[in-house]
Amino acid sequence: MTGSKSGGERRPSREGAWTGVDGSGYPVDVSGDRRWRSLLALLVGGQVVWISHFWLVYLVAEAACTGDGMGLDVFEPPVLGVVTLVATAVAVAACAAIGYLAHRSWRDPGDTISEAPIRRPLAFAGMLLAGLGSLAVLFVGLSVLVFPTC
Amino acid sequence: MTSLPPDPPLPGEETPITPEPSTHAALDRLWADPPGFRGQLTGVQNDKIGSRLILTGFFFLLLGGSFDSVLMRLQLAIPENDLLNPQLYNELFTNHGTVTMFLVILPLFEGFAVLLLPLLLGTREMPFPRLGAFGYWTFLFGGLLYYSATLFAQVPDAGWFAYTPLSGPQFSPDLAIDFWVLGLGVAEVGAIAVAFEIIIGVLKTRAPGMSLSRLPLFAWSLLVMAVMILFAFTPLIVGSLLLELDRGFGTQFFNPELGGSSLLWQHLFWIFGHPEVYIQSVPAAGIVSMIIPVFVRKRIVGYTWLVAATVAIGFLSFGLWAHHMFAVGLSPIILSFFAAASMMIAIPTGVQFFAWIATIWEGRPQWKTPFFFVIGFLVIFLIGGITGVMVAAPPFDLQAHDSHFVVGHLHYVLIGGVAFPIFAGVYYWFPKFTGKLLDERLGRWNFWLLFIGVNVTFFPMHIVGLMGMPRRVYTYDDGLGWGIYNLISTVGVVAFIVPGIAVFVWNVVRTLRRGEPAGPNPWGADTLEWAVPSPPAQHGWTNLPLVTSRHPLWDQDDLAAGDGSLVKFARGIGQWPLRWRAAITVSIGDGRPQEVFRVASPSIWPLITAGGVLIIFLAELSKVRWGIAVGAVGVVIGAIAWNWPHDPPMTTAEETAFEEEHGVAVNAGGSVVITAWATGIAILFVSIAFASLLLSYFYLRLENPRWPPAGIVDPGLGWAVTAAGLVVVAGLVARWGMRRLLAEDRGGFMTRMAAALLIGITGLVLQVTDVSAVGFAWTEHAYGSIFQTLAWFTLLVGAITLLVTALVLYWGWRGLYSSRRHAAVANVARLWSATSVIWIVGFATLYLAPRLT
Repeated sequence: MTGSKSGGERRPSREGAWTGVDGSGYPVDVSGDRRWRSLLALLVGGQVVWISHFWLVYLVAEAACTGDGMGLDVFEPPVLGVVTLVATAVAVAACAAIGYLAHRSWRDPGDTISEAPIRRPLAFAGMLLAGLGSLAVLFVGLSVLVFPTC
Repeated sequence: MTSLPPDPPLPGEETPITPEPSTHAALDRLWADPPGFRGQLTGVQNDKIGSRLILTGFFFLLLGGSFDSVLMRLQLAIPENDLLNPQLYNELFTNHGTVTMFLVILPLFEGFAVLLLPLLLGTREMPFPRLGAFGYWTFLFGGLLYYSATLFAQVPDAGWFAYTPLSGPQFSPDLAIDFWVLGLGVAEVGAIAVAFEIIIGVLKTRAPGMSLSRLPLFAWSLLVMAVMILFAFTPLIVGSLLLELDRGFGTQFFNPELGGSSLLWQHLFWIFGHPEVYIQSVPAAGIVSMIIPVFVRKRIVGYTWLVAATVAIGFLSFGLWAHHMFAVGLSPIILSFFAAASMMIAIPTGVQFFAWIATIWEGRPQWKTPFFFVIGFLVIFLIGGITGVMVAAPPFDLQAHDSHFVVGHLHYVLIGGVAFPIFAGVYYWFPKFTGKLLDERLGRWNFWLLFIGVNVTFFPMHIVGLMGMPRRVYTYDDGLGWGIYNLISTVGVVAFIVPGIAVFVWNVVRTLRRGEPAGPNPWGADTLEWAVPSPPAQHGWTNLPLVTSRHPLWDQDDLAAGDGSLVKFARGIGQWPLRWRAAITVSIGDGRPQEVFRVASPSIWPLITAGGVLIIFLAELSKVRWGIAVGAVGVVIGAIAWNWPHDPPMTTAEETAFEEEHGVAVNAGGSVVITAWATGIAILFVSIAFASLLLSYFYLRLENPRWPPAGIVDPGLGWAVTAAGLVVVAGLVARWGMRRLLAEDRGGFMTRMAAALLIGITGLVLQVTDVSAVGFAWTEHAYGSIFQTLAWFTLLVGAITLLVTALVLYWGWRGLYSSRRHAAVANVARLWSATSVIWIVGFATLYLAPRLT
């Protein structure tokens, strides 16, 4: 919620409100949710990257190794290995970026200083999850170095 | 985070309880379900729904979990035993696995959630009480439908995973598997309904000040569990639909001879089945994280790490399913992906273990029964987890697969990791809801009998499994050396586990009759539920608590103290309104109040809607196909009546008066926030089902060298493109209509919604005509099967959107909507956006994918 908190005169934000902006003096104020959106994205971002990477490399491997339909030859090794390694590199970079941003939110709450005690734990958790995500991405993706073919 | 709490209160004393205001009795009456039999049918109150789910889960546990396992163990006690015949043994192990995985642990945890969350989160009710009631009824009906197979001597016998082709029409031609598919299908609908409630309940209905970072760990774990249920059960429902279509309508999804794939079933099943294990163990870990700090008088070590671990397990568990399929001949590269992901999950689980051990290490344990069960959990689950890492390695798994080693492993996980925390939770929270403490001495007997029993029963299975004894065999030859291990296992069940469960049942019965009274906080616990009387009032909280700590009862002297405007708001809610059931929504992150909204009242319609769902599945089971239409009509009528808008119980002027006083919006007509969330999650649910069908399409396409098969021409594009264009235009016009309503142009709103309806109907009719005219049947080849199924699924989504649009148009004509009360219209606009995307992706796949090859 935004606005002054003194004396019960806290006026909700009209911007992005879900109820009538013109019809009601008190729209439902969803600005609180909006302000936390980026932090919540940082919380789950590393894991979203991991699951996206996993499904991508798995589906490419299915297409390359299970599929015998027309047009699926393009996925066969060495394409499978190259795609997996490139996807792994991109996913690790994404996890690192998310981890960096989460770390920054954890160390420096910036203009959200008044909410720092309740925001920092989630930023820290986001950093941990990005770290685990990058580890998991590497562990899965680098297995193509051991099994480069179907 | 790790310092001692300031002088923990002695049990039952010094808990900060705000004196109940004079409105307490009036609110208690307002929130109570109607009395008598009518109240039993129409009741929606969370105490009722939650305790029913738990009791029904225990009922199925005694029926399927205990009885079956005793019989199976007696059969295996000695070699070449003829107590049971092979068919009965098949039925018993199928029933045992099915009941415990679908009908016991799931309702127990969903029941815990519905019962506990409002108190734990400092709110009065779950956000959708009628959905909770619907979830319970469908779960009960589904369980009974499944169990009614016994009455007709059609007991499912294909294992709890019902692998095709064994479960297909060729090898299981009778109705047994239909009971399995359809009975569980009804129960799965109920599971997803309650998951909706839990997700929105945890995210949006909490006490003022309860930020995400102050959320109790059990609430975090229930949130993760519910999201996992949504993502895991939906593919299973799709898989069950395809299996039933194969069995009842002659499609070829799982028939390799006509383009199908039996492995497709395994993928769809295990993409549910493995997350299901974590759906069970994540909330169990949440219970452990609640109990340990209370019984060692120490704040949990590593709260943030535990939150991260819980979220990580939720994600990682969706990349592990094929480790159940290591022996089916997958490519080594695919095996390595799944093995790697399976081993990774040991990291967050290990984090949890070390956090728990560190908390115990730092604290001073009080050896009460809940704590005993937690220690039992740590020991047994650790062993189960380590054997889990062993079977995550494909070379080892290929040796242990389908052996008793796996039986030992999974029971260590599910009994140690899930059942023990459930017992701990029951002992812990029983006094809150009954006002009586379970007997401590019987609790010790209960624990030690089960702890010894589980180890005596299941440890030898690891050994006999490594010696080569397979699972699911009704007997074995003498002289293999397996006899002594099996005998020990049977002794464990008969001499320890059965008496252990009997002691528990006796303890509950005895305590209900003459148990020691419990105060509000018998354990000196830290979370909000212990601040209200035991048992709590119907509405839970009169004045909403104000939360400023993760451990409010340890850190806060007064739950009514806090930010000035919040104090005034919380008191205001305690005094007003007294004519309708008011609860609040808060912003996700910081827990600031967003809205006061009206919670639904008791209603018969959830029961009728659940009855309609049952009729649909029953009609398919009995092959009385017109009954499916009857059931569908029942569901539609029930759902419309259940959501039928009533005049808000107060005028906008009265709402505004409260708003002016407290600065928080009031919506006596119904929440705009949580209905938007419900629409979003409904869209997510439909999208997951749709994605499951799309993946099935592409999996079948991968397996077929020719797609479409020889002799089938590609479907023409003209009508499909026109229909898709019309649907997109209809969606845009509907959104335009909503904007006119926001601008108070109600005439413009009505004409645009009517136009959207007409344009959408035209698109639907065109596409239905085109799909009906394609020159191939769903019975000829898997291509036709998936084409028709995906097409009709997409058409059904479009038809539902049109139906809802028509309803909104009718209610708009009745004058229900304005710029202030426009939540339903906004939700329809959201539905149209989702429908447009699903329609385009669905028909683009069906019409373009064959052309690409």
